[in-house]
Amino acid sequence: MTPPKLEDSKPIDRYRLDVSTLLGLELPTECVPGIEASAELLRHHARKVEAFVFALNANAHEADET
Amino acid sequence: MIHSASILDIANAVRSGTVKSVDLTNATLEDISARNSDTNSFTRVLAESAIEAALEVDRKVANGIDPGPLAGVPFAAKDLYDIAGLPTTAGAKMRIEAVPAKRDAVVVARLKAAGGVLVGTLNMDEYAYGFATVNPHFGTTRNPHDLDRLAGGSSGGSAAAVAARLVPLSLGSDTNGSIRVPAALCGIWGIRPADGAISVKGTFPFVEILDTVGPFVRSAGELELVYELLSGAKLAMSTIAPRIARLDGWYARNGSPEVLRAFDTVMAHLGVDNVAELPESETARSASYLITAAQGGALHLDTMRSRAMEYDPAVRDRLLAGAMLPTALYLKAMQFRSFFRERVKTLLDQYDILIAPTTPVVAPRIDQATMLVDGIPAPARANLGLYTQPLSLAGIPVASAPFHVTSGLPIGLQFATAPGREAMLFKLLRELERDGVLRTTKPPVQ
Repeated sequence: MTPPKLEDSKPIDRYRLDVSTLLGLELPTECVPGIEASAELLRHHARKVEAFVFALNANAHEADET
Repeated sequence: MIHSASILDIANAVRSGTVKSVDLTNATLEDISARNSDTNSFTRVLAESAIEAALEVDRKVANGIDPGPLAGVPFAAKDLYDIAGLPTTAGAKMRIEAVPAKRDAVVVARLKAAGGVLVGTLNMDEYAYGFATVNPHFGTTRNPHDLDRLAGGSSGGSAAAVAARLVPLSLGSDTNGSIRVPAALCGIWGIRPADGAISVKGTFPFVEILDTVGPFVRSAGELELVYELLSGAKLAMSTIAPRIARLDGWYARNGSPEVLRAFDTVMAHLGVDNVAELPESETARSASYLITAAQGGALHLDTMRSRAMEYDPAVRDRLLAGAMLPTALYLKAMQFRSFFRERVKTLLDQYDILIAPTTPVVAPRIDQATMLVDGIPAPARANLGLYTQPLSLAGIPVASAPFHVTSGLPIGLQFATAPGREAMLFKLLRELERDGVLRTTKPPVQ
């Protein structure tokens, strides 16, 4: 099995939609790039955690089966 | 006296009646008024209540009542501690007119009960989300060792005020390194306590499972004294020789030559060649990032719905991105946290004290945008927590101590131990200070 991959990038318009849905308001367009940059940083860290936890769980699963 | 005296010197002088607390408080207030503009450490000076508290200390002395181990010692608190009668701003403009706190935070009350005199509140990154103390509402706190450089954050005002000798003692908070990073960059002592060792009650929260509070001071002995007062625990004298190791791997990567030289010097002085690996520290840092963003985002979501544009834009970006983090990722980060804490516990069964640099570099210039991480330019401010964030996830006590620099900017080293072994930690720090290896240096700004 290979670890699942997060999306490498997410269109800015999608983030505008997410923020709008989450907050129930539209933020000015100039706010979007900053949110996108922060989200990209989180995706970078999420990839590391996802890969490690995937391996951790796979190993635990294999250990259970043996 | 106010610039050079230790906490113990001040308390002894006030307790014996040699110095009046009110005179010392007035001198401190005048000094803050004259010099705070250098560093921009204070956000509010509480002159009236400080004078009242000092007069009460003097009344006790006059009546033969011991005011306590901090008799007349001026102190200040990061602007996220509740102080009765004042709004707790947490560094946010939108909270300047918040409902005033009904009572003091637990640790503020403890310092006051020990005779300490609260003289003001201190600058911080908005909602403690940062390593820089660059605050769009209250300004940037500058490093007393070089006013063009960062003091670190998020407790930058707390560190700069003690380093600049405006007060001998301050309170900060540490979620991902917010005590240790500014302590290191400003060349003073600070400690992140073990989870639950010091009460956070009455402080504005950030990340519930990572938040801790602790002191900034200018010597190892003061750190131990104040730690005991804040935690309410009397530490037993440690007589056991600690098993010490240097943390390698992640904690030796990306350090500047001057930081790594300081690290080597301390290890050589100790005669220690044990090298410990704490595997997955890089992933631990990533997990800290995710947990911080998710919990911080959830905490602020309701407020952001109605007042998003009133936040520091950089903080708002991080909180919004965190609020949108999928729950599954947050839960995986929490699963990693459990794994990592077990690994740290196992390592601390083998060693009593682990030593690592606090920050990879000395204080960056305020206008410095990037630093090299693994050879690639990366945001300088965010990466000041490179070595502190993994240890935050472990929930163990970690002190940051100043390497004795004879020239150049301050360098800090982390000393981590297992919960319950704090006495051993403080003993080692006192010995290294006595030997001249660790020491606070006076900044040129005075």
